[in-house]
Amino acid sequence: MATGDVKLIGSWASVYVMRARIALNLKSISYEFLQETYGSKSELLLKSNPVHKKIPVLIHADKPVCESNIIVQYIDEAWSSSGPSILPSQPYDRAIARFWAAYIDDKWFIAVRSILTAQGEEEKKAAVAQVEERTVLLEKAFIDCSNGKPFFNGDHIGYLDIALGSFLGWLRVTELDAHHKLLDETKTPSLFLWAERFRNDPAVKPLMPETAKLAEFAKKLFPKMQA
Amino acid sequence: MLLLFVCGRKTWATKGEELEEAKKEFIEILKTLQSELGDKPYFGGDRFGFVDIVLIGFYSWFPAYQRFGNFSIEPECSKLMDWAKRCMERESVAMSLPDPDKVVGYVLQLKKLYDSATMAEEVILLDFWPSPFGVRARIALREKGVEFEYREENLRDKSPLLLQMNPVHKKIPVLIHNGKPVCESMNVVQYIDEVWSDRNPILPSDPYQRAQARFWVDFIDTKLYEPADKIWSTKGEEQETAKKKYIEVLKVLESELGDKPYFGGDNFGYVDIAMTGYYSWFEASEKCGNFSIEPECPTLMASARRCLQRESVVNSLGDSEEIVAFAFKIRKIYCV
Repeated sequence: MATGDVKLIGSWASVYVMRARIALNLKSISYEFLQETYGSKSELLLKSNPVHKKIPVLIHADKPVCESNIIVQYIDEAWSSSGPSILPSQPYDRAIARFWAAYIDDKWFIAVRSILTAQGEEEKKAAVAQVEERTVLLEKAFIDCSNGKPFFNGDHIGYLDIALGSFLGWLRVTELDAHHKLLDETKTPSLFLWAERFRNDPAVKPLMPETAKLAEFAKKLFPKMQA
Repeated sequence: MLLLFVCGRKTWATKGEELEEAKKEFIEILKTLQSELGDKPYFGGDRFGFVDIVLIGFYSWFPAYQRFGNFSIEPECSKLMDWAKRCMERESVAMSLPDPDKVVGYVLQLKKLYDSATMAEEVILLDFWPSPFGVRARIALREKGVEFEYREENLRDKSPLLLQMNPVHKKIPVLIHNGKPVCESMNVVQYIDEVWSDRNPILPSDPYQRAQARFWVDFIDTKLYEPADKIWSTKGEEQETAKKKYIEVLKVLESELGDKPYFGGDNFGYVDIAMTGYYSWFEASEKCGNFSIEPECPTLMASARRCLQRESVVNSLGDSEEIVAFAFKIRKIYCV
């Protein structure tokens, strides 16, 4: 049973920070949230993550853990006896969850981001088409993984739900920018319903950023945005 | 006698149809022997002889065969069983044969090993011999002593199986375990570690150490991939930039390694397996880029050599010359 101080260095707007916070909530772990100021990096951050200098950083009993998906796995393993399991119990299901989580970060979100950085209508349209294509793959993944249950992880939210669901705030902002629905009830009906359930999960609800506030913040990062 | 041995073994080592066949054959053989014995007290006639000695050894195994095969020998071969009991009255025999209960215990242990080996059967690896990612999967399988079928893919003409098993990326390595695919090299390595968890752990057991191992593997695959790739596929300024970046990243890794023999500490582990993919390409990178890694990263190089000498690695890699030749071959195509 892990004990000791738990701190999380992060920001309210970060998708990756949200993952760590959802995991901590699922395990009912109290922690001190250290909000980083946009535009500068604290001493503690630079000391705890000298390699990447990025948030989130979980500091547990003075030992730092970096990289959101790694933090989520760490939380699941260090507090394995509290709360629900975040990763599936079977090795094969875990391999599938890790595969799709990597796809979401490496392929899917890169496509979403390219909508926000697109120069001109043509580029934006192409980016939107790519996101739609990749979201359809995720719809299929959801059907395969959930096996009729409400979440990727089954009855409760888990690793893969967190990996994708943490993007929902930003996805909404991107939809506003693109004037186009990216999570569509006709094209990806299962994911559409899953998103609603995810947003309303008690471990998630208090953490979801307000769309307007996020859109305002997004303009700082993506000056080409039209939201 | 060999036939008897083979059938006997099958009574505890197989199931279903194979078991039923084995039991039938086993009893047939005993019946043949029984009819050969006839009314004689021993196979040797009145005297305990050669054939008696050869056959009586099996007697201690009868309770085990019967228990695991779920059958009974006595009703089928009562005369033979009488013969066996007669032999057991001889001091030389009673003192030499193992206690049948101990044999049962021994077979139970064998079964545990055997069952877990046969249950996790059908392991196929779709791979490409020079791949620094494919080699990781090969090493992990060999570290665990898992039997697998290696299938070479022609990446310019991918097999229907590869396209079916990895439709998203269409890349190797793909591990197919009892028909189910696992993709992405370090995912495959973690999977192998979790399925065959009873031996040679690849990831440490402590959650914090595991997080550290995963962090460094993520670092390696995020930071080393592009510069490594550009060293063989580009020239001039672009190649120079790639070489600088490559060494820079290796230096960070070297500082993380410190004075440990492996990234895993005293044991070859998850991070070492990830790095060995790149170690296998060190020589090719050096020759394509016309530079030397050792003077820049001597302790990393020492660890690399240690890894490249491991049995699982040696058996997973061809001659380094072959990778160098391959690198130059593709360099000609990509680097115009």
